[in-house]
Amino acid sequence: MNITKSANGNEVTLKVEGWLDTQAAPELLAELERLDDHVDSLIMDFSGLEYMSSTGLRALVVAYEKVKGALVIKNASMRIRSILKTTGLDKKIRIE
Amino acid sequence: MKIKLSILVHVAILFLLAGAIALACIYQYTYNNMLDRAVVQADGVAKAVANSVLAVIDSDEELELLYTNEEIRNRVYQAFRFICRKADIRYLYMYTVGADNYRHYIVCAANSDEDDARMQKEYGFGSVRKLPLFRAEENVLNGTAEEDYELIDNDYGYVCMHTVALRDENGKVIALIGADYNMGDIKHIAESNLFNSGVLVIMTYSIAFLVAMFLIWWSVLRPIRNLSQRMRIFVMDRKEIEVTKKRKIHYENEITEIENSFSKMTADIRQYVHDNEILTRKEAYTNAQLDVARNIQKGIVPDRYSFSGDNYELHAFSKAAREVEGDFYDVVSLESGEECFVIGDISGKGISAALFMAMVKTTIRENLMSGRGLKETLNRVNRELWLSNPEKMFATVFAVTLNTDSGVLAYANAGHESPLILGRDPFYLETESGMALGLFENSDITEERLVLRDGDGVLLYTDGITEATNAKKELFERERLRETVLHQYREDIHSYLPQVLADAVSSQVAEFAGDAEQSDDITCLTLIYKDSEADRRILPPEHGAFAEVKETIISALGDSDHTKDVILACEEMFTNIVNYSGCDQIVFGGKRSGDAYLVTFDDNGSAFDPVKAVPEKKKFEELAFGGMGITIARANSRDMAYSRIDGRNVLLMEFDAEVKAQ
Repeated sequence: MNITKSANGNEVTLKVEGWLDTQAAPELLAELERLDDHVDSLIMDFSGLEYMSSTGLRALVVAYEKVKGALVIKNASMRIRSILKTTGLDKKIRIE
Repeated sequence: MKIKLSILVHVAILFLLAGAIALACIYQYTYNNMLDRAVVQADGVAKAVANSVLAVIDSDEELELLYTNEEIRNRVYQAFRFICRKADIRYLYMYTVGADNYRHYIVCAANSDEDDARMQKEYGFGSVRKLPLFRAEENVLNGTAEEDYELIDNDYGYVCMHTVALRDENGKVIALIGADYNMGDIKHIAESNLFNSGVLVIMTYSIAFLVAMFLIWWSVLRPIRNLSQRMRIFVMDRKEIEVTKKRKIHYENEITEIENSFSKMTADIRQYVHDNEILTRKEAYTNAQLDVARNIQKGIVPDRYSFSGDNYELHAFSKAAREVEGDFYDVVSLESGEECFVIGDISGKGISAALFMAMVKTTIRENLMSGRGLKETLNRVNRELWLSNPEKMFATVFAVTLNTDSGVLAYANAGHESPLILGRDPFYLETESGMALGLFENSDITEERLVLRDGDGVLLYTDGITEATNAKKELFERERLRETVLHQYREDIHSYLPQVLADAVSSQVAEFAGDAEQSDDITCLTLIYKDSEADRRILPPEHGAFAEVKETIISALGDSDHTKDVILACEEMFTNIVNYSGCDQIVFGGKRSGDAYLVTFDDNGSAFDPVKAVPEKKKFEELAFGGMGITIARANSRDMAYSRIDGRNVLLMEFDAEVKAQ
């Protein structure tokens, strides 16, 4: 898994690529931990995300809480979208 | 061989004996007594006469006169004759016995003229007789007796001779006087008396004998012969024929009682034999029918059946308590490639149960063959039976379907005994049982599933095993069955040999029952699942270990989006095991099977069934702590099944091996 962070003012974009599995998830959680409290918008770019397990989904929930709902998921593949849908996360998290 | 001796002969001998005794008595009392009395009387007379003579001639001088004086001698002779006639003495005589022991006769007289003439001629005065002396004479001569008598039978007739002695002053015998009383007549009378009495006795006895014979023949022998002939004929061909005209019976006696009893007995026996013949015919017919039924049944439910299929081994046996049985088992290969195993027990025993069994077995098979699942099959069969079940019979059935690729064992129970799951530690499966088939419109049968690992199996049985009874009325019980099975576990193959196991169960039940009669049919089906193809790895319970699972799956299915779905589902379950089970190892297995890819996780952690678990509805925020894994795994897998065997969680996940064309 590879995470690329870019910031534009208070808007942070995290580009997650590769496999977000149980082993990789702690890395993402650590990245989220490191996010500044000023961040008011978080964009997660999943264009390069091949795989995401429920641990990754839990990281999304953590991220959602962290930015108080200001989380947008972009460029998720159909498979990732379907997982989000299956687990009901799509009801809360904005997916573009 | 014993001598055949008629009763008549017996009676004749008896009569002869009695007649002889009677004759002997007559002889003794009539003849001998009469003779004895005659002797006494004769001797009395002879004695009186002899002594009278002695009284007249009582001195030597007088005797001397007899020798010398013929006239006196003649007068004495006259007196002698007179006495003879008056006293009925045959001979009266006086004589001396010289030193030469000869008799020297002095006077002789006889009763009859004829005798007297002979006497005078042969025994006249001076005649000498040289015949030996009689005992009585000797006795008197030598003084043994004063006087004596003797019976003499010779030329001169049969007489009783009485002898007295004439003595001088010195007591010397100077002459003897003999008086012979005639015994001839008495003897003749006695003999004629004896003869008459004898004839009378013989006649009386003969008549009595004849009458007795007749009576015996008439009232005993004749009816007995008649009866014996009737018996012989009856024994020969069991028919009673009147061999003689029926006798008019005027009175009852012992024999008529026997006859009546015999008549009653023959009637009873005839009736009994007749009834028996009918019964025997019926029984022979029934037995023949039963034999045919048994043969037919052996076709429906073989005594033994062994089979080694793809990935499974099977052995079944069935032992009927009667000629035909109500237990059955069946093995049905389904079109889906799965194998279905059915065991059942019909209420009751014997022909009715066997008939019902044939119907139940056939109906189940038909439904399975037409592609219906276990639950649907059993529910439909129940309804079919319920619709036409006048005798209100029912069948308890346990059916399992084994997916020989995945080891998934689907099962449905219609009121039957719970089977034993055969692992290292065999246990009774707890099932949701529906109703026995045939009793109610709805049997509410459900279907559940479990997963068998390689070497695991299932033992289906009927209550003939657990309820086998010994002489002490104890039951074999489930626990004894479980222990019997447990002892057959083979550590070398981590499994059981179905036939060995079945034989052990059979022999243990037989040994337990001992001499007690088998009261119920016994049926047992042992099934062992074999899975040698699976790629199995033992992994530590660490998240990092999943990498090996992932690689295995990729190498099996290739790297595609679908493969990722498979990996995702597996990772979710793997993660759950690592996080929550507390196990110390996870056995992972993966294999392709037809259009499916099968993954098993087998861990020794605490029991958890992800298939039955209902994910809690969680608030969004709580999802950060988990709760989505099972949902994802279910969504991504085609099927999941779970068992808890030998303290291990066995989870099977089934996926499409290829992406289905949309």
